[in-house]
Amino acid sequence: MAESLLTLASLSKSFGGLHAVQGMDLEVQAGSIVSIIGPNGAGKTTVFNCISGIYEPSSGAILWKSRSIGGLAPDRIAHLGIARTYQNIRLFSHLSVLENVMLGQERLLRTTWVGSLFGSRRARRESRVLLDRTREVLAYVGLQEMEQRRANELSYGDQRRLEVARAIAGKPELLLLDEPTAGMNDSESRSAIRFFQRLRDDTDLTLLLIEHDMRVVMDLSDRIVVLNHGAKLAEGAPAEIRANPQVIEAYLGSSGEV
Amino acid sequence: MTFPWTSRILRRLSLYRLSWIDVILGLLRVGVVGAIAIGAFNTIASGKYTLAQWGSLVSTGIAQGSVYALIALGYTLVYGILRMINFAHGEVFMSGAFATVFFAIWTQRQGWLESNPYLTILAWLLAAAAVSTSVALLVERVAYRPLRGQSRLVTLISAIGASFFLQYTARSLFGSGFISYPDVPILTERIVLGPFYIPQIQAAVLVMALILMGLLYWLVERTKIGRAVRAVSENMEVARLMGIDTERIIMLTFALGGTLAGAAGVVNGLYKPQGVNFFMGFFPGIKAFTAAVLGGIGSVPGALLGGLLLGVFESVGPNLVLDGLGIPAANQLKDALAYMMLVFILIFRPQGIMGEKIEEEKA
Amino acid sequence: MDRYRRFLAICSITAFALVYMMFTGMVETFGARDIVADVIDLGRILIYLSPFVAGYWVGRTPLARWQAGIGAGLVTTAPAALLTLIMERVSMRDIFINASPSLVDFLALGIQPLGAGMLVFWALGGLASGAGLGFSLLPRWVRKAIIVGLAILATMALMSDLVGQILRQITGGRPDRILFSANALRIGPAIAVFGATVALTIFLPALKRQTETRVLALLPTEFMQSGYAAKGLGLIVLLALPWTLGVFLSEVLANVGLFMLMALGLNIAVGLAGLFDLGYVTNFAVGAYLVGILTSTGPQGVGHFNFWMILPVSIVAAMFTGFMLALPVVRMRGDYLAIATLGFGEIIRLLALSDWFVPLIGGAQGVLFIPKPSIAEFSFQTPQQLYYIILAACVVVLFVSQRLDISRTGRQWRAIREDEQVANAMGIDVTWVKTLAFTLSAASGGLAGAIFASKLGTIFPHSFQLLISINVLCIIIIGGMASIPGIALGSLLLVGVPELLREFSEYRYLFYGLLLILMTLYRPQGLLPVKIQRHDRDADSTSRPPVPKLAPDPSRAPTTT
Repeated sequence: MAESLLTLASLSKSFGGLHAVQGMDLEVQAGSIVSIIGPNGAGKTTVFNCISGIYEPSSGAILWKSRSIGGLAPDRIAHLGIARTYQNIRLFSHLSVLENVMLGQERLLRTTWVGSLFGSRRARRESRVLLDRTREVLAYVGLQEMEQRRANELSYGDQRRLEVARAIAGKPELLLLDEPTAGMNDSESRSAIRFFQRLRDDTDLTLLLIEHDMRVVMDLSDRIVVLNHGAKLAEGAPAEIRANPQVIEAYLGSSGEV
Repeated sequence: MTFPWTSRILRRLSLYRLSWIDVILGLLRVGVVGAIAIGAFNTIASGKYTLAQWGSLVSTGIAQGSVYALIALGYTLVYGILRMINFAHGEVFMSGAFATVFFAIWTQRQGWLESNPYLTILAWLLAAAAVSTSVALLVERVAYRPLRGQSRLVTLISAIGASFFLQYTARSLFGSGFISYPDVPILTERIVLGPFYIPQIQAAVLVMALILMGLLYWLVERTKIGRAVRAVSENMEVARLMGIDTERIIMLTFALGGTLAGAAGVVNGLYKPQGVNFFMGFFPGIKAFTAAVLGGIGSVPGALLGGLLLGVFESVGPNLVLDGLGIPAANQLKDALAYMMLVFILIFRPQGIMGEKIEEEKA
Repeated sequence: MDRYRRFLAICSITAFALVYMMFTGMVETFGARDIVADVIDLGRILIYLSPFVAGYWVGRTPLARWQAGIGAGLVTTAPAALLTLIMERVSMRDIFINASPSLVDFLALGIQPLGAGMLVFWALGGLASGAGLGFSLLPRWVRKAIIVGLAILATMALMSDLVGQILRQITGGRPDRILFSANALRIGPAIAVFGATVALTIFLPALKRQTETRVLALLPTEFMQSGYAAKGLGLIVLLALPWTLGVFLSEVLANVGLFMLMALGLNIAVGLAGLFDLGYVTNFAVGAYLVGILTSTGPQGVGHFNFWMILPVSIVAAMFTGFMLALPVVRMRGDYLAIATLGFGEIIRLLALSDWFVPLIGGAQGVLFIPKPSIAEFSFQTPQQLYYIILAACVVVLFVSQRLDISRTGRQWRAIREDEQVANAMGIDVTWVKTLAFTLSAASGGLAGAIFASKLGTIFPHSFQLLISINVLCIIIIGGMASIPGIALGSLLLVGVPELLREFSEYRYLFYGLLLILMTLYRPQGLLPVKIQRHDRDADSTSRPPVPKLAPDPSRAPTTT
């Protein structure tokens, strides 16, 4: 049996008296697509923030390739190969599209400021590679025409694409997507599904996503985890989740769409 | 068998989040506490100062601290609502004090101060409050309101501009010299309390500050308008949706801050013999901001506590700590000590002495 | 009703401005400076500018009628006139130091009795606002031409020293005597200058288009586009400047350069990394005191080293203090960081001033007898010679900051300026990157301080006030954050111009404050903001596809028009 890439072991996070996440367990296998669903306030984004190091878990462990990473600073997490996007797009809005994607590759760069100052060989080589890879990634998501535009000049859909481009540019092994199709219409989210499938096929990227759109979740995921009030309600393949009466009652039942 | 706090300490020490900065800051913290402890111990062990001297240092500090506290309220109220440092607040304080000194001298010449001292001082307070409130509202209208919703730093730049503009306007209007408030004849005595002698004027300063702050506290905590102020400072958007005119509340906040700052200006003028000057507001403003942060920004009792603590520390500190460390002419470093306190508070306790450390809800 | 409220609002603002200028003494102080000899002085321009603006403003509202226009001027000048009448009877000088009889006289144009003088003043106010209204009705291009003409005229008159000096140096004779009579333009040349500028403003655009294409056709395009031509030309001008300006103006220029050096350094923290440092003067002080102590031949001197040996030492020392002071503050939020750095600056100044360090740095007496920099026998004595040292230092700091700006480090700074948390999640060690910005910024502060100490020959704690930090910050904000041309312009405007207009130095910081407010309100990006989007130019330029350089940049199109 393959060793899991990311493991959450009874992860908990509380703010003051509020228990945002309680004893959450999760295993993410390399190469799989796992979705976390649940009503608003169920603690999904808090889980993401714990994994990406923005929050320090109150208790429990986060294991990356069997190594404990809970509480590591965000930049260290990024260097391990975990990238993320945000629910409300957070680009470097006054910087160019090109620079945004370049900044996604920080973990691949070794140039120091002294190197850049004196134009060392490594600095020159690295920035050449950086520019090439940036253009490649932009072409992959279809933003190659936009590279000189400021990020906040892009349309909403393009901003979402740019955020994904920035996240995948650093060649991460795990990509955390926080509601990647939020605010998209039907055809847009369908093309987003195709995009993520293609992404998984082209690279050996593992995806962990939070999503509200049930069709996206059902079409894309290998496994689904249902959170409610900070605790795990159910876990399984899409078909199992669809059939789970508890889930239907707690979540699907209330929103009424499958 | 682990208590929650021990596990938290262990977690802190797990070297995960502990970066080199934490190590250096930790050393700094130990160094500061150590220096204060050693200095204080040496001074007290040497018995260089009598109890009465300590008493007079503390009472001077309390008087100065009450002025800081009154100014600090302006920072605290505005920061609570707009999350901005009203850098020009020190100048609001200055303008009330500076403009009123002429009125005060005039009332003395008329003989009112002799014949009717309480009413005269009340008139000074009202005059200074009126001037400071107008200046505060003017600054808000011209320099802050058009920038609503912009980043903190943009507003801070505008506030620095306003601060300098007001300072040098006062200088051009009234000149660059010091002008003293007239002595108040009824407050020149000293109160004897056991071994301590407290100048009446200092006691009066504290009493005035307490009364004003009590009034403000009552206004904020007990009245309908105060409830609106608290609602806006809790969440401006929600308050607006509840039908509260947030712009009016903001103006009210500036007006309240201005009123107290003006009163502080008179109070300050009463017990400081060297008088008032166009530059008098800048550094007390910064110190009052320190007091506001120290007491926990947004809290009225916190401002009082922070102001008094800062005043006392500033007054006692040079003799208590610096003397004990063998630093010559320690009193010259009174201000430096106050700024050190400012810096250390911002480094180690930006949430204030009473504030709980809450992890900011991010992302 | 609403229209009348608008009218009253306009009038009360302009009336307030007029009274403000009277009581702050601007009217009189500026009145001492003639713009056109025997015709008009700056003070009168200020006075009648208020009703003029009132009239113009009214002209832009639905009230635009002659009655309203002239009325606005009358309402604007009325409070000033009334106050003047009161001033004559009741002396206000105990309170307002500028409320002097000479001010009364000035406003009344010397006419006796005062009532008649005030009537004339009032009537002139009405005329001025009528003119303002008329001005607002002119077509836009005419207005623009007139404004440019008047602005050039005023600048020429105010900068008469500068213009005269340049003319003298170029021609060797005294052509400035034809133009100026004791600082003010003569009437004939004034009319000529005004006429010429107006004509130029109107016809220049068409003319420019023609000549530009013709001149450009003569030059190799690639050479022009590479920017080397402009840079080379700029460098030649900069090198030649002190010899065309003479000693006094070179001194001004050297001061401008020194502040520009500091601004370029502070720009690394404020402009590039977005760290609002109000304690920049600390680094300046460290550099200055180190050079002072280690090179001085006076009582505080230790070692009597050569300036050039100590220069690197003082830079490293400033870097070290910058680094140490950055450590505790880098985690703070932006506004708290500003206050904390301000606190540091004051602590250092107070320590320098205290008796504690008197044996080492002389306390309030300062460090005296600091020698000028010298190489072998040659000593940099005159402002002209010192200018070259400052210029070289500016070039170095400029090189370092530009080089880093276009590289990975600059990108990291921009990222934390935009969104610190996301930058952190991208893998940037935010703490380190900020500390680096502080440290490098401190290095150039130390460099500036070292040159300052050597240039002045004496240093006192008084030279390291908060005002220096604020001054440097103003240069960056008013010029344009992170913009090199902006910083150059800012230094010229905020340091050079005040040095040339010493008689108005009283109002220097008043105008700084006003400028800061106005800039944040109306032009937060600065006078010359950064326009071009940079991307990584570290890469070997030959390997880069030339496409992006030649293709019109769509994002720039709207801003350049």
